[in-house]
Amino acid sequence: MDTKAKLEADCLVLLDDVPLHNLIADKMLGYNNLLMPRQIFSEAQDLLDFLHKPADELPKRILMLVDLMMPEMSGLDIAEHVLELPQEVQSRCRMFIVSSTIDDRDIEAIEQHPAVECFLNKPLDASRVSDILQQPVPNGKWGTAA
Amino acid sequence: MKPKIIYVDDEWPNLNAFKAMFRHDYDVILADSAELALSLVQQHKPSVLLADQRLPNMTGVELLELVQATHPNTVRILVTGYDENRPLIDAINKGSIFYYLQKPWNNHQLSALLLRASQHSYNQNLIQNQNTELLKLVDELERFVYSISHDIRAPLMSVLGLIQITRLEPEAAPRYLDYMEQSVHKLDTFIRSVIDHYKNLRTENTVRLIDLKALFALVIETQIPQTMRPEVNITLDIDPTLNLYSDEFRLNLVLGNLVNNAAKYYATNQPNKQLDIKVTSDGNLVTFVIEDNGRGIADKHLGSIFNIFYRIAADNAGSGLGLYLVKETLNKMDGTINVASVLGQYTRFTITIPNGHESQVRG
Repeated sequence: MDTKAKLEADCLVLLDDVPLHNLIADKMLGYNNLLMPRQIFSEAQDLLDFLHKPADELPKRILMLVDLMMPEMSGLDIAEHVLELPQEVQSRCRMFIVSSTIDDRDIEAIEQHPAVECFLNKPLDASRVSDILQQPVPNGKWGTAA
Repeated sequence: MKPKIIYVDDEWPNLNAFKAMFRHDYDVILADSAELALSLVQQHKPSVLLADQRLPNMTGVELLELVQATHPNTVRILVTGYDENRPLIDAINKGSIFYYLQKPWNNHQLSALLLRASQHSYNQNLIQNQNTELLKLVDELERFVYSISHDIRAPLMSVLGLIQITRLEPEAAPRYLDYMEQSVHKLDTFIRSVIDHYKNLRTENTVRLIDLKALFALVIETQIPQTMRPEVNITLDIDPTLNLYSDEFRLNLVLGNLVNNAAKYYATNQPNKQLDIKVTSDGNLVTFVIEDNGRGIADKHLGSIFNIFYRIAADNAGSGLGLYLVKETLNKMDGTINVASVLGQYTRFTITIPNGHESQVRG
């Protein structure tokens, strides 16, 4: 069981325009003992509103699993917004992009984006999320030194 | 239609002789200066341009070079009465002429040459048109291949994910099976739309007398889910004097997509669902108005809803192909579509199509 991961993130955010995909990801994460509190969104704007909450209402360690292809705003658009957040808020957020894409250009753009830590394929393999959370936290994230 | 030929020469006897010789086989246009020839080329886009080398303000080679840049499909022939190697070599080197013809010309030889030149021009235009169509198809194919990862792979990945969680939670299997069924239907809808799109692109209109009442009955039965049908108050008002001749496959595609959208985008648990359909006829134009009182469309989306893969809402319903298909289908029918909507109140699609004629009905 991945106790370290449970301690590390204090909020898990899921964003996918297809509610069914959120449900599948939620279940998968639960079965892998990633049971931290959830914020589940199907509209990108709701996630941005969440990230713009006052600092004292915003969790300290946020793990975001964001879909790539959504109407109005893609996962990479969200990543651009994350880069514009105050540094203090950015340091609370770790962002993974989850997608069914097999297009090399998409994957390359995701992997090169400074706000995105990794690309995960659908259906979500939650054990990979656990594995990544076992690794050292990237510098500047979740209270580590930049 | 006869191929157009422009002949430019500053000597009118030559111009007149040329026209007298070829006016039966070609649409011959004459110019006595390079300047006039340039404006005529612009206006008529001829298959062939013959230019005398010795023109007052510009040489024939210079004129042909200018035309080559603006109208590469116009076949260019240089005519000269002098044994001038220099312009000939220049013209050939610069690739600006199709043939070099020396005066006085031999009528038989010139006739054969013009036939070859106009055929060459026709072929060039054909290749160019086919290239343009090919580029559009390649662009569309690229978009489709890209969309495969979302519109085909995503529902498949949902099914895969649902199989995995069903194994972990077998007691919830009936609920997950329902979700799987929805995903499979979504995938099937997408595949059907793609096939309809290609059928629309590749087939000609087949005009027949349309039984509009029967067509709408079919559209309503197939596009509004059976469970929803009793909840929707549908009014159907068809001009009783109308005899509509049109392509039934395309009309079904257009009306089916619009009625399907109306059914998909009522608000959740909306009471008093209304769908009003009106068909009127004015001369050769037939107008369909399809109005629902569903969720409506925000102003910012109205200009984009007919774009390929444009999706409005964060929901599971649309693939972004339906309204694009409607627009493309209406293009094939020489029809138009307009939309008016107020968010939370109504959406009204107005389409017009030309009414065909009994004489267009085949066998």
